[in-house]
Amino acid sequence: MTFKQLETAQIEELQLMLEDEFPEFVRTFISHSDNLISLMKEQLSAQDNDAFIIGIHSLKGSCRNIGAELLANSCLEVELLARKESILSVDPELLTICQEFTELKETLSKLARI
Amino acid sequence: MTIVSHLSAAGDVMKIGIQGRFDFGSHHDFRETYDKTDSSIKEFHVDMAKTTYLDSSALGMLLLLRDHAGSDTVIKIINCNTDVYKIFEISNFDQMFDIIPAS
Amino acid sequence: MSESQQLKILITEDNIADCLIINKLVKDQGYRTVIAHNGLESIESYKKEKPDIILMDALMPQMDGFEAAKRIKLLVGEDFVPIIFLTSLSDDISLVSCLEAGGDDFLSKPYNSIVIAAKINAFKRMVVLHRTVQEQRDEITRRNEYLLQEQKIAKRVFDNVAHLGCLGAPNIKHLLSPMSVFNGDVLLASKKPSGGMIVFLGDFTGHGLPAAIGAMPVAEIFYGMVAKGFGVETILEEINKKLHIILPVGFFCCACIIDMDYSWQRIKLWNGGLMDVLLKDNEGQVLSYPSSHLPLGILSPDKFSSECVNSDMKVGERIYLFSDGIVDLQDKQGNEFELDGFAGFLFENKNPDEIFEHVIDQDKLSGEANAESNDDVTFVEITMVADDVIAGKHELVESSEQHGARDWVMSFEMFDHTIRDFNPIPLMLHVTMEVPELRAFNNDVCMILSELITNGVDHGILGLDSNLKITANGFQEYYNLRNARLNQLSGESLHISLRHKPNKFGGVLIIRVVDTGSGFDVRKLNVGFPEMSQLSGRGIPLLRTLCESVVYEGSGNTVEAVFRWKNTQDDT
Repeated sequence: MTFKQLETAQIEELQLMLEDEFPEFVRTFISHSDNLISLMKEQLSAQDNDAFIIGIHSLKGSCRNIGAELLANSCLEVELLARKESILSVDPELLTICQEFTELKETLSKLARI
Repeated sequence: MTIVSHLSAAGDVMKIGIQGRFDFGSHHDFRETYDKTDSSIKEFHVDMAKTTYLDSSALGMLLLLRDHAGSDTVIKIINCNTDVYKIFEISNFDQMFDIIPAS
Repeated sequence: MSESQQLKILITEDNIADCLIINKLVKDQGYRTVIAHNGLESIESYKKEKPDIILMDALMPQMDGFEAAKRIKLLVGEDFVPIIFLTSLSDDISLVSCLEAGGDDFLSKPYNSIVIAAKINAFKRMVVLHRTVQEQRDEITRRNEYLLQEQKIAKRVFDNVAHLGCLGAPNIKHLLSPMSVFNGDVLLASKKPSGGMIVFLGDFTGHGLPAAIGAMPVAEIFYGMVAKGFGVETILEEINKKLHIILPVGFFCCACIIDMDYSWQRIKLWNGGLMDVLLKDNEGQVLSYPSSHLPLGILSPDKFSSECVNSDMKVGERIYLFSDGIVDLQDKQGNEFELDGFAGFLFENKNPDEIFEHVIDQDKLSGEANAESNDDVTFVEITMVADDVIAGKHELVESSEQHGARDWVMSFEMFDHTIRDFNPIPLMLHVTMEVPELRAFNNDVCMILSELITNGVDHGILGLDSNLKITANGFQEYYNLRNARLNQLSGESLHISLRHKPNKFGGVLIIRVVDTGSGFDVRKLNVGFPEMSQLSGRGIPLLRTLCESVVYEGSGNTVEAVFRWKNTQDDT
């Protein structure tokens, strides 16, 4: 089975390692990432650059850990933009991230059968 | 410090060369050189040509050699430079050993 | 951390999903974990849990990993708690920041279980190694402290033995600068019963406790014998004999002994193995007395020579003794204290009082320049003084011996082989020296005993004729004959009786010697001194000079000599 958003090898290894804790993990990933994204939207409005960077950086990292390469790369681009202090131009990019994340959520949920 | 030893063809003269500092650290090596010898050795020649430094523990080690070799064996201390010779002079070791300065 | 107790690893990660992953990974490898979600929590967790290794996320809210790592490293102190940064920062500058913040390594996301296992394992080995080294270092420090304490206690005993004497006398200045707790140099000084002083400087091979331990019997012998009026030659022979027995082969004592005679303004000196002893006279000349004997403890008694050098020394002249540690003294520039230079310095220096101060300064400078010296340093200056400056003869009675033995009788008889094998003179002398006031007359009493006993044996029992000793060849013949006859003794005896009685003026020592020989014609005794060309026969006239009376009784095989001494307070 291949997934558009996920590296097969990476996610399979996670499954192997976590065994029956995998569904719990997926739930945690989804809820924590959701949280991160809403926080980031707030930080954006408040123009809190530093906090935003921490948030997007964190999301990028956990995406890499589950093998969500596409989303991770998108996060990276946004992170770089924010670091160059072009925070205003982040807005549309964040939209893309939200969309990609929604798709990822679906794939993961199916995989974990939750 | 290195010790180089050499036994004559006839097996009766042992030459022991001390290279470097002859001090407390030399104790073990110096002793090992003569420890296994027996009364077949009639003479010991301790060669100081390359000895750079000598202190009271070295004098002590020579006394130990004298003790091991016995009073009938000749012990010559050869090729002493001025500093080394001076130490033997002050301690009057020429009364116990043949001290020969470097020519 | 014991074998059964696995490593405790602190995981600091703000992303909960990542945290779950890394926690599982580490736990699966058998380690215990503690979790924190930001820098501040991490520091608190460290304090509370004391983990062995820390996995630290770099970017976190509240406080980032760099700041947390810096603070934790301060808390860690000299222990070793490795910090491995968890990071998806990819540029080199950020990775350098990790290391600058005190990080020891980093792990990048995505997490790879093999890499994590390998890194934790490697650091685990380092942690164990570090702890072992620390424990061993602490153990060594503890033991070293203990040994030093032991030495300090032993030193108190040592000081009580080694420092009984008169080093505080006004005409002695000394500098003792030992390398460690124990001083391998021993400096002894004691007043003589007959006036004057004897000083002994010894430099044992090596330093510290093994060197100092030889000093204890030396000090006992020295003080005991000087107090009893023995001369430096006899004292040297005793010390050499003792050291020859107790010191292992290869260990010895370079020494110098000086007998200062204030009344005659003379010194007697023996130098075996020490640097030249220097004397600066009133004309400004510097004379040197180099070592002319082997150090003490090497030669057996029969080969040992106590021959001394004699010299005049006038009031105000000074003599300098030092052990060879002095050549290690360096000044700030690292220039060594030169011995030849010192003799030169002595010669040039017009003010004698400055000399000692100069050496003290060198010692101080040297101490500042290099914290650890290489050898014990000892330096002594003795000034010749007039007799009346130092306290009178009778002050020297040791406080432990204030009472002494003044009213007693002792007799001692030897037969045949004992006459051949045993010399009773030292024993008889030691007994008579139990009379404190006789110590000022040690030499005289020694000569008297010696003459009486020798006469009793040689002329009385062995029947040797002193006329044999008239020629030089005769001496050899005499001694050959003497040995032969000593080996053939049968039924002979020598009886010595010593008696001392006090009286209101002082005291009297009566010595009686009876031998079983056939005697001689007492009337043949010469009254005056013989011609100088005669090599013998001086005994009896000499005795008559030293003693109040010498009377031969009977057939000449009994002699009684009387030696009288007077209390000096009664002198008008």
